[in-house]
Amino acid sequence: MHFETVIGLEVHVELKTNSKIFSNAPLHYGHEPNTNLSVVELGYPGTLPVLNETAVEYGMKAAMALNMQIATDTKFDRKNYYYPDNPKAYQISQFDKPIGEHGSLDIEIDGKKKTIGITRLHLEEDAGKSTHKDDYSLVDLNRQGTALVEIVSEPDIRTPEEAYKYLEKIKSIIQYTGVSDVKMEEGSLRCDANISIRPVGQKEFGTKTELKNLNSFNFVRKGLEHEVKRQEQVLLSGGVVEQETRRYDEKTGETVLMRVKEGADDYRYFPEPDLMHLHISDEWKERVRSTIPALPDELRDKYINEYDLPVYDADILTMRKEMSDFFSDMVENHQADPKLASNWLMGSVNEYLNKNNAELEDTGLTAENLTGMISIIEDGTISSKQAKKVFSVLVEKGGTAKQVAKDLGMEQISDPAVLSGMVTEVLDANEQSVEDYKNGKDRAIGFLVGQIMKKSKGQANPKMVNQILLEEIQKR
Amino acid sequence: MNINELTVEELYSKIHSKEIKPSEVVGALFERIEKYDGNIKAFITLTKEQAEKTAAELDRLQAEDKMDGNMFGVPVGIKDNIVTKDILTTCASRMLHNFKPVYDATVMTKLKNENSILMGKLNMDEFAMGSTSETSYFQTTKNPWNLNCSPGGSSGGSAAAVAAGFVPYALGTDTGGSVRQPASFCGIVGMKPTYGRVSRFGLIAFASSLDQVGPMTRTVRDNAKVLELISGEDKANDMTSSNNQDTDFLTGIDKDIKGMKLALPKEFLGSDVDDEVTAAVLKAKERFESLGATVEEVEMPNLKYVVSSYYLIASSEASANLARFDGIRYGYRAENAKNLEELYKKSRGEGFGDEVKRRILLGTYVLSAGHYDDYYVKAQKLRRLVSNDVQRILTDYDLIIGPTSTTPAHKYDEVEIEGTKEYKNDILTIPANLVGVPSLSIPCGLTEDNRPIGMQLIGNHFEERKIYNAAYQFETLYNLHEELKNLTMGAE
Amino acid sequence: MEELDLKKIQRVADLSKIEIKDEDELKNLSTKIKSIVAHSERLNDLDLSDVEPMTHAIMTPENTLREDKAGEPLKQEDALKNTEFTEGGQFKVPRMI
Repeated sequence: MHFETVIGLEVHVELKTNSKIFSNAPLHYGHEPNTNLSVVELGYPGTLPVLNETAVEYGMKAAMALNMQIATDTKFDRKNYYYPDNPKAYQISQFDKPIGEHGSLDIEIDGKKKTIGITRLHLEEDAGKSTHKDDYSLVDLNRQGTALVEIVSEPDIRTPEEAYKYLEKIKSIIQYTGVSDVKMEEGSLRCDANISIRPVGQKEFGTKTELKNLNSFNFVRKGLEHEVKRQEQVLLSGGVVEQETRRYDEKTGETVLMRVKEGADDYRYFPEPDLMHLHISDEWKERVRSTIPALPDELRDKYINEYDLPVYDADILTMRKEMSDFFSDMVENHQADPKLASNWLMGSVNEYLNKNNAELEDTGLTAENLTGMISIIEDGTISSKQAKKVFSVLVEKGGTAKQVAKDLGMEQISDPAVLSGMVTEVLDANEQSVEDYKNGKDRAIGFLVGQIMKKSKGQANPKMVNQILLEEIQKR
Repeated sequence: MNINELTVEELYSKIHSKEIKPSEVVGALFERIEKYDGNIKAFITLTKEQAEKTAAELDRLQAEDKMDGNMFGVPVGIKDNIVTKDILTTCASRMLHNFKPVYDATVMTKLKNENSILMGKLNMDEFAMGSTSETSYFQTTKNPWNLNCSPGGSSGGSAAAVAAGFVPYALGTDTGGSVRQPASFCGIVGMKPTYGRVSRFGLIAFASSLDQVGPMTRTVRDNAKVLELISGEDKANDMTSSNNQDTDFLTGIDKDIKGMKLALPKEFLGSDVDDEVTAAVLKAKERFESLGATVEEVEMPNLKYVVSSYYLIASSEASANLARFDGIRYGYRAENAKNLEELYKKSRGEGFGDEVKRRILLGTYVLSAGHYDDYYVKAQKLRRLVSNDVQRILTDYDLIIGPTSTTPAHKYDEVEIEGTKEYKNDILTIPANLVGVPSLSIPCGLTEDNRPIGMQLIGNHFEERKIYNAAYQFETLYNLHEELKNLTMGAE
Repeated sequence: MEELDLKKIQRVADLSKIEIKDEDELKNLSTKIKSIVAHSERLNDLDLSDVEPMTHAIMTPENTLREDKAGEPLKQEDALKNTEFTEGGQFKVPRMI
């Protein structure tokens, strides 16, 4: 029997506001526990939420970038559940009137475009964090109240690979809008997956399980791959898939049962009486829409069609906004050759950023100096080998490529008069070699070039040295 | 001069003219509290030490003619569900028996800024759930008019303290009548302002969409003055921002009310209403007419549904509002809980009293899957119908008048006998909460056996001025303030 | 609407995380709840199909939003002040299961 996999993803993205969604408490990742709080986050009796305008706009922006319709009238609801990191015992969320609905994004699988529907995007508050010890738990509420959007996909995803691509795409689109850092390692992007399988041709969905603890895109892919196999084995051995929540175990690469769901959870949603309904006028929508920059799909098409970049290059350059901004700047404002610029960015630049866990803005690189470096390679001022050294200075300290090459003493000696002088000196001192060459020992020429390079401390332009050397030998 | 008999306005002006010192006022009132509160049991916490310290500081400022603030030296009592920084705030519950907030409610900040002096925190029904002040974990407050009677509730401590002359004014809170009904039972003036008039920041929520803080005073003018000082926009409560600019309620309060159109819904004098209450309200109607107003009978057909609607909505909201009391960050924490589930269940099981548990369970039931549409949504729809009724009447009339409560203050044994009687009592006060309009209770008579009867005046949103104007004129004809001076309260 | 029996009230108590000591307490609590629920059945007399639910007592004409400015947070000691059960600046709770 053949099965088809059906996957839906729930992505949580923390918004990069200055203050929390319902209070003026600050947000900082990695601060001392319980130091980013106001009485609101602590759920102190008598406290009230007041909605952060920027959180609303960021939510709109994310929804717009995902091609969603923005609600004209929206509201907040209380989702009731007890947990120590949920201090009010209800989470302020959006139930039946999310701020965004009916969106989609495109992914590419084996060169073919596939559109994945996005059901909804809603605003809510993040919870705190619990750490579990042997016989007790500790609660840090710093994260409580951080503005969050939950993005729920349609069950359109059919393979773990599609899920991976979908996530990469969401991450890049959100990153372009600037509303979030979307860093999975810091928890500003998180993902849960719903997955079921069904015999090919069957219309009804199978029973789904929910996967949690998917802490990287790779784990999402691996967890889903394992879960597909597990569900297949269950069905093929005559069993039934239970509706349950499973955790991905990074060590074993398997999914492990967390809890069986007994019916639907009873969250007792009801309209949040402490917050007024929110009206979003067309004028407000347009104002927010105008702040959305060119998005990765648009840039990718441009790079492929206008700059003749390979699809692979265009994909990589448009993963992060800083990268494509940098690339566009090089090409558009400094006339860099697109493919050479791309090679450097995808190669040494990315290598450096990954190795040092750095952002482009943390480096000494500018569109101008990297373009400058490429052009002095092209005109032969420095060799490719030397360029590596120049690059490592530029990336660490900045400056212009020419100056750096000069300071490193790398500028090639290309003055014919200077080179002729050196050649003459070397020939005068090595008459035997000249003789050998004339007698057909070609190797002698290599020795002579070596002597000239030595004399010039490696800076002589090798092409020109060769040329002048041969001319001088002919004269003797 | 008996300091305890002075109104807010009188105290303020006598302090301002240096006739008396703040410390004398505070001293005289604590003396009275110490003498009588053993019987009345209005206060849960007395803040004597801080009050005396503040008064001494104000004495100094008075001597230096630096008397800033519209309540300079005037003492106040605060219902114990309004948070006060570093001062025990219990909600009359074991759940918060040890709770010292780290911040002040907005109303508290405002009164402090006006240099009012906090005397203590006042008893109430636990988490404001009740209308007798008996569900308090700590004590049962008695009615200063008759110690065998309830002062009403949930702001029973506030009403009793004002009636007993312990404080010239107090703040109460009103979710379904909790300011007005005790005001009516204790013969004082109590306002439930327009929803959004006064910030709820720092009011420990019972039912968020219904709760309002309101002033409780002995005179209409005092009431208007206090409301003026506690109302206004608050960045910490987004419901307060709109239409809240006009808070000058005293200017023009004494203008005549000739031609004012008052509506008296016939359902407000239905069969549930005591004969003596009906008689007092009909007498009040005549008094209004003698002042040149017209009073006409109108219909409020959905009144019979409001109690159901109220209980379903208030309990639903309460079930979520009171979910935060889990023993983890503050409040009562059960000992020896073996695991988290036990910590929750035991802390809440032991920390809450029966009435609170009942309402949490009711609210949880109403919101749970399968019941939401049957109960919660229907209750909110009924709320709309009541709102339409009120708006329809207030299109044609300036104010709605009627009894505050179906009965005068009941004796404790009566309440005990009839378990659900208090639900009926709330029927007349609930509409103003559901609809969000302001409603003021003022004394309008006494029963044969000397129990006060209250009348309420309901206006449209943000039309407190009109209410105070009519109430003030009424007070010129009928005033219980003088009677309050003669209460003996059993200690003499 | 369905019968509200003791078992259901017990389930609601579990959802509310309230321990009920014994059946007497359960009965005591349920009496009034049942009476209110029964009283509410009268809402079924009304045709409410075209009525918009009213969730708030007032509707403000404009949105009331907060500018995204951070203020001073509470000090950790104040955040933890009302409980003695803390460790390393965090709230301490018994094990989850």
